[in-house]
Amino acid sequence: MPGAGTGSIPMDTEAGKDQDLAAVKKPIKCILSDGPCDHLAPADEASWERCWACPSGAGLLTAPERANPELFRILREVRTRNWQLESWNRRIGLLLEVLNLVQSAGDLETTLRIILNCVTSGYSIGFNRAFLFLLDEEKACLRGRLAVGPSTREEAYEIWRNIEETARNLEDIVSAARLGGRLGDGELTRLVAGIRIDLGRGDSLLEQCLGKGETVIRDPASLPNLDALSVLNLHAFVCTPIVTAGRPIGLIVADNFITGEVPGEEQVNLLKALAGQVGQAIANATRNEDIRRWLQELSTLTEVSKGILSTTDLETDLCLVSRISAQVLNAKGAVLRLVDDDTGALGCKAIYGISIGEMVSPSEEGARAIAEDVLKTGRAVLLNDTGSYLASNPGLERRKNLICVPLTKGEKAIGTLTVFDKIHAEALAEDGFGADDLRFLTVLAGQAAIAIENAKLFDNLRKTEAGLQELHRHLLRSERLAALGELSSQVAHEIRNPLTAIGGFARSIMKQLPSDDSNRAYMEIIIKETDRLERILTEQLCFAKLSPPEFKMEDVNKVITETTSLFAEKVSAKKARLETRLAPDLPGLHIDADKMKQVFINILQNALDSIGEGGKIEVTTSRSEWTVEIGFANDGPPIPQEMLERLFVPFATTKAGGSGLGLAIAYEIIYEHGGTIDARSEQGTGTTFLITLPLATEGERRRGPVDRRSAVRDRRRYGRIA
Amino acid sequence: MARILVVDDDSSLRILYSKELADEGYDVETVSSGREAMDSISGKRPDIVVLDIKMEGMDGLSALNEIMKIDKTIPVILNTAYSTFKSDFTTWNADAYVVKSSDLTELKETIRQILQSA
Repeated sequence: MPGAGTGSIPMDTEAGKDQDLAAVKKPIKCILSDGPCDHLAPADEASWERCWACPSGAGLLTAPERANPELFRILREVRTRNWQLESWNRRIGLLLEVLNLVQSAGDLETTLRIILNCVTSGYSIGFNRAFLFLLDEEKACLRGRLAVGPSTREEAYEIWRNIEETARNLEDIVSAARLGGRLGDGELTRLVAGIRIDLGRGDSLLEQCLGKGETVIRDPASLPNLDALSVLNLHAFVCTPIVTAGRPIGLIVADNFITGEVPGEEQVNLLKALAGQVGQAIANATRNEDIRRWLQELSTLTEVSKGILSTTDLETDLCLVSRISAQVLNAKGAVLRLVDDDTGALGCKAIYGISIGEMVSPSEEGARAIAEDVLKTGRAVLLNDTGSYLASNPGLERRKNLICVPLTKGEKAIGTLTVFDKIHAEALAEDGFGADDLRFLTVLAGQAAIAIENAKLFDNLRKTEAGLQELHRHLLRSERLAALGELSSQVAHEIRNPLTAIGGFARSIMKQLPSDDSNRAYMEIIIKETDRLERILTEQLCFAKLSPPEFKMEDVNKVITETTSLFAEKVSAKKARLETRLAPDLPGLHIDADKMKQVFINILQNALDSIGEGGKIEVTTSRSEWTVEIGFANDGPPIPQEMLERLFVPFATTKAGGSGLGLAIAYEIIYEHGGTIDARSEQGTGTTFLITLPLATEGERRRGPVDRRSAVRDRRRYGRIA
Repeated sequence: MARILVVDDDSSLRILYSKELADEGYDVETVSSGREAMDSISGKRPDIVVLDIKMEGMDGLSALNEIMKIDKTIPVILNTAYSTFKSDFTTWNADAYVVKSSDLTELKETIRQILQSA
């Protein structure tokens, strides 16, 4: 029997036991060893039939055994050795099975957990604790990844008390691994995940082990190069590299923290065997993990692409891109900048996770400088230590790390996308952005650039289309009006002559009728009606041949006052009020005052006709950035919606005596001035005609009504005039 | 008594004008075409011509040209249903341009002014 007659293989001990441990061990009567056993035993002795570490298969001494103690001692010895062999056999078989299982475990986390559970299970290798480190080649470091084992002695008892229920066999180990960590694993994993050992310095114990192979450290406290490992409070431990294809990919560190036993030869060999075999499985799982992540990124990208390519609205696109890039990279925020087509300056277009106020802070100035660099060079920048960049770009203190990629369309850089401040799931890991993040953002930026260009094109297309539609509408109107004018002038000739004769004779007769003649009233009707017909003809003819406007610098307020004064008499006859609220500081406008007066007269006449006795008309002027607005509001009954849509179409009148031309003429005149006229009418608020005239220089007006303000006008016009 | 020649192809208007202008105390002759107007002017010079523009055969503007050729001093008032000819430069030879209306006040006033200044 190796050791002090314990018969325990996993706990095969050397003599050195620390005092601590001795305190918690008490000798129990172990049936198998037929004498005092110094195996670890829980306080609650009654629940144990035998030492937990002794093999099964041992039974109570039978009567023959008692009768021939020597024979049976030999027999027992044979049986024990036999068991020992069986046990090894079983363990090796177990290892093989573990390897099989590990190969098919799928995800990395489960794979690693199975391996470590195998290292710590009493049924296999039986270490107290195991830690796994993986090599990060990109960052040239070893990182703590996972740990299994109790973090305190109390936990150890807790775990071991339940061990029989939780880990009787391989399936238990595996299912425990699949379920996640046991008590203590989380705490240990947290500790080990904080460990990062940079390679290349050569002074680290683990780095040396990577090259040398398994190393048993009997007295960790005496080692000078333990550094990062000291937090694990290691006892005598074994450290073995995990190798695949002759290349180390990580390390397993295992110790007997609770029992304090120095790892025995068998333990070390088993661990070495395991570590030598699981390398491929870990490499596969890592690759699977990578593939899974790439697939996920790919599907995210597909989703993002679908999202941004399906919207053709530029603003929505930009917001979407900045939000998604920050969210997918798990970062605090993102800023999207675009080159202005006109000025060539790089301007911020969309932000996520950062306030507008912050955008003007010095810290953003630094970020902007980086963006300009990226735009110039066309090369992405990944800064995980913004401190080192501070010398040339002061003010970056507030950013922990950032990635900035160019948005390029073909060869041309059209903007930049900056993502900053990686958020880490584990507080201890603060490595910032990785190559994966950069790769992902680059692909996303490519998609975004396409989407942005599409949206821009679509935007232009939409503007052009709106302009064309407007032009088309106007052409239709013009054609219709031209045809109408042609007709009018012919009809006018045919009607005007007889009308003149009728009215003329009526007047002639009127002169001769005695003042008390009862027919005078009828004659007056004839005269009045012919007058009205003549007026309609005049309007039509006026419409048929609208002479081109003569633009002069005029004061719109003055034109309005002159027009309203014409209405004073009519207004007071109706006991109505005509009020003006004119902006005092209006600039002069290039307009044809006579024509504009015609417009105002037509609108005011309509307003006066629609309001009731004691009604109110209000004329207002105001100025906006590009335009002067003139409003004519009245409190008359609302104009029905279907009428509102045809308000400016010739002959669409609701008035009994109207020609249906007044507003059509007004529309034509305002159109010639490059302005817009629009009517709104609602129950309760009355009707308002709004005229918008451009504040343009004469040169600009010559460009015609489809100019840079057309977009504004089109929005207003839509749905108004069919 | 001032002599007025009215040229209009509308017979009703010819009756109206001759009655109304006669009431004003003028000697009124009416003809229905440019050709007839030429004949009349060649015979006896009127003090003023009231000329319609849109007429069958020779229209008012051609007639105006012919009248100018015969005698540049005869005052001519163009009287038409269209205001559009106002901007036609061939109408500038005329002394006045009055749009037809059943209210003859403007026409009568124009005639009076031209005769006074002659």
